[in-house]
Amino acid sequence: MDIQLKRGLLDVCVLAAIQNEESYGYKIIKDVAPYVKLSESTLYTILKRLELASMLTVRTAEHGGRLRKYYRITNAGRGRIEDFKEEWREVMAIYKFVIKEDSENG
Amino acid sequence: MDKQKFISTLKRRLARLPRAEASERANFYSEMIDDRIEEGLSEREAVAEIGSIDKIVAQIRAERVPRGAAGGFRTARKMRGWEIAVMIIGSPVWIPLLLAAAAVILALYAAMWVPVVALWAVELPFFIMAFISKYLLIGCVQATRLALTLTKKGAALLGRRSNG
Repeated sequence: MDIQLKRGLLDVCVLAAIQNEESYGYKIIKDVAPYVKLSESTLYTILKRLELASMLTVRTAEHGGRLRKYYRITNAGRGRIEDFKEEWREVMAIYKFVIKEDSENG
Repeated sequence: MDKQKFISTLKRRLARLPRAEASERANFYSEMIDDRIEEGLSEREAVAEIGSIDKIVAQIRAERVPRGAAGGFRTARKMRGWEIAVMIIGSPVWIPLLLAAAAVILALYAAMWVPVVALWAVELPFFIMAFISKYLLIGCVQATRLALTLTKKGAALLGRRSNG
């Protein structure tokens, strides 16, 4: 898959994983796992990028005697998810057209 | 590998990064390992799932490189015809500049030796003087001996005359 495309998709994946409730690193990886494999390094970079873009906030809290970082989506993050859904409605329409043309000729 | 070793090795491999970033990344992985252990994995299994440090470092390196520059530095490529032509046409400009730069560097290097030479230049007359003085001294001693000998002989002659 195109690297830029994949990067954009993974960003939205992570946002979706935290859209309903605050989450933490390992839980995000587990939630996304059925759909796409996310390595720790990739996740770190994505979380950093999203934080820089103000699409999520980070807070550190104590958990089981150690520190854990929790990530919470922002309105900008929700906006990104909406944009993604809109973009892909268009992509799906074109895809249906391509498939239809293909099957008519095939 | 156990968690301590993994994290310390990772920190060592990330030493080139800004300290805050290296420490933040290490903490991130430490947290990930702990989360897996909490889920029931053993420490070794948790570390194994994280993957190899080599891969992590390679990925970080790949991220930091601007797109299009493979390996982080431009690989040498063949010079195009027009580049060679420009180099030749421009040589009356860059060759003298290069020579001037080389001359400046040489002059700076020579300048470093000036104080050393100056110090030795002060020392040299003293060495020469000492050298000359030694032989002057020897000469004086010999001359004095000669004078003494002559005096003795003269005295002896005088003595014989007065006695004979």
